[in-house]
Amino acid sequence: MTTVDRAPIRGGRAVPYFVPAALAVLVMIAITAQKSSQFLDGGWKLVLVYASPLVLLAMAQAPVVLSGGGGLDLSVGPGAGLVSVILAAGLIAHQISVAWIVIPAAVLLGVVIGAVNGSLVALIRIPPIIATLATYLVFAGIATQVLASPTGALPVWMDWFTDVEGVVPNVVWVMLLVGGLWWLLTRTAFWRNLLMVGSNDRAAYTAGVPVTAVRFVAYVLTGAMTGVAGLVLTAVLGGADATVGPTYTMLAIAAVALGGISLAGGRGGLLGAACGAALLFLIQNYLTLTEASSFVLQMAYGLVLVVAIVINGAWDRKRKNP
Amino acid sequence: MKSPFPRRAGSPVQRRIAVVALLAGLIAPLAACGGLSANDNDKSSVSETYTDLRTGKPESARDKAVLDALPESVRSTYAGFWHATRVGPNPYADWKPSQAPWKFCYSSAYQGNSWRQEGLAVAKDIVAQLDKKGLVDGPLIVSDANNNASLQATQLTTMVQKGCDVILVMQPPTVGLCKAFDAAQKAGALVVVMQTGTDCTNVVQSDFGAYDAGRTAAEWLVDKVGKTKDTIVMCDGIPGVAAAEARQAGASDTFKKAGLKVDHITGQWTPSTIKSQMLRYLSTHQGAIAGVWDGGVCAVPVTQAFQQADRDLPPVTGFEGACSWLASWKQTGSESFGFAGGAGQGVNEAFKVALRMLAGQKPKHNTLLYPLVQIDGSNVDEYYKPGMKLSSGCNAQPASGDSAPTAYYDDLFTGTGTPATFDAGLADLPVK
Repeated sequence: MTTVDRAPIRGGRAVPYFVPAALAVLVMIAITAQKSSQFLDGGWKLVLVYASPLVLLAMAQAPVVLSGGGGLDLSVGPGAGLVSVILAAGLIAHQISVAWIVIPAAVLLGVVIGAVNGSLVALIRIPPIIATLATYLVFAGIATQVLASPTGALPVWMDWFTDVEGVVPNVVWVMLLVGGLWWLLTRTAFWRNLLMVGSNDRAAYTAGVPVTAVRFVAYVLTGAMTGVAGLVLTAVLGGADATVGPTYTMLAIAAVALGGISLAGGRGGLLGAACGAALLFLIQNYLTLTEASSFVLQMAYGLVLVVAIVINGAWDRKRKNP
Repeated sequence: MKSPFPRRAGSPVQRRIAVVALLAGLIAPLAACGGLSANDNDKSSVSETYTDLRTGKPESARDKAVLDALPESVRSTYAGFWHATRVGPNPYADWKPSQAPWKFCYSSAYQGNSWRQEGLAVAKDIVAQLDKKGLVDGPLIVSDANNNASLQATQLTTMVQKGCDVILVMQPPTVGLCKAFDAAQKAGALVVVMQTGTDCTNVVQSDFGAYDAGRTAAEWLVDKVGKTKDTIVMCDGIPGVAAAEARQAGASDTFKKAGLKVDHITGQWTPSTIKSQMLRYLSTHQGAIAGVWDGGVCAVPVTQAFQQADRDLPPVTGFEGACSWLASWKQTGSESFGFAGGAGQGVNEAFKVALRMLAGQKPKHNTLLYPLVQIDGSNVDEYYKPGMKLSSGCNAQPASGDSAPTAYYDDLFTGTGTPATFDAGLADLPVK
């Protein structure tokens, strides 16, 4: 599911990049369980269902960040929102609601979104932050145009995604599926190329790695995962609302940083991104339990993000100059 | 563009096969997961029981049948309900209320304006009164989601974890919280959604009849302007928001029936936007304007726009009964029409519904709409207070203390349990 990039520490041992975030998740689970007796008694399942769009969007963010060159995708939130409204208003509302059409449509819409971003960044060479800011606005605008008012009519099979009756919520299987496919990808030479391009694109180019193609594919992969996130977002919302998607973008980027993925590229994986998103959601859940205001929550996000980026930067320096 | 996969990974054909297999691997299992359901071609089963939310659409045969089946005493208030909400059976039909004391919780989608603050203040006051009667377990638990549906869902989940018996939800998003409501219902909590429609059918909704209110204000304006070829300007709210669309539908239908010419400005419930939109309209339309219909927050900025443009002020309706609107009415002397629609009255009505259900009564439907009290030239002095200014942020409340008399709900409930009573103290809310 991820690369185990190890940072050297005293005594020559190494810590996989995602370990700090994973430990923080465990700590937050323990703190939350102490605060709420019902959390471990099934309450966590619903929390995870509501966290799932963010977790998937953080995972989606990982490939483009790993590809380096300032790679990031501000449009993942509106992209997922656009997929969601097209599914709800374009397909389901017109009685095209069977799973074997809706699910591939979500992934393919995501691929198209990713290809648009990839073309702007890798082929036209617009800086990623500008290109994806532009598509952020475009996707958000199209979503509002497609679905002016929220709609909630969904086929019954979509309830599967939010079902919490099993040992784990069903949405966990979706995350594991995406992670599993990603793990398969890490067994290919493309993965090594991605890390090489992310670490040093000049060296990669000199070594014959097709830098443009690697970055384009990274955006397409991000788009495909955004499509899956859009599908899950629709199920979690119980409908579609054009205004919801954009709220996920900043949190998804924060989750990537929090998950130990180097924002400079070349280090990290999906597991770290998922841990970062889970950590953000657990912080939100805990502060809600303590009845902290939503403004305190915003500040907490900001502080956690600053700390994560500082630690990330220090780790990067240590990695390059052990 | 060179392939991102190096040659050592295989021939071009093999690489293409690998990519196709990867995509198929992603899609097929997901399709299989979705295909586990036996009802793939069915719409949600609740759609068979509840009417659909059909914002901005004409009345369907099903809407008409549901409307006709409602008690005569409430039918006009429920007119056009499909624009803002869904109507069907009581989702709490099998629910058995716990014994007092009860833990009350208040989940607000947003608290950043004086209207919302007023609603919370009234809720706290009511809970304090019930507490004195020994009916409340602990202080009111409050959350503010800052317009973040995901955060509000988490807040609702934690309220369930804290054992809330009643969760009052102020203006949640139309979709996005159904799963959290479901968890609350399964945990035995009563969820009452206030002052907005929702697509979720697993809650009890308490709201005023938005279509009816929009229609009533428009009818006043039609009477005021008479037969005219001049234009009526409708000052619309946020496009796509069910509450705004319902009011507008009520007004549009009335103006159409009266044969009046209508233009629109989109004020988005924001005074600065409304004023600039109205000024722009006035500068580009030199013809006479017969009147302006207010879809919310419009009356004062529209009046200011007419004054700034040095145009004659036509009749302008109000909507939510803002203190600033009453001050403007007194200042200009131009008669208007609006409603006592402060958040306080909305919270008051929601508590009345919740306490009836806690007493064992059952609502006949999931959605309980009530009429707003009207403010016009005959009773404006009951609502205007000397401290009201154009900058005031308060809203008029029903002079009697209730939007709907207690007996109004008798036709909407079954059962004979006697609910706890309280005085919402709306008349004592500060003018500010």
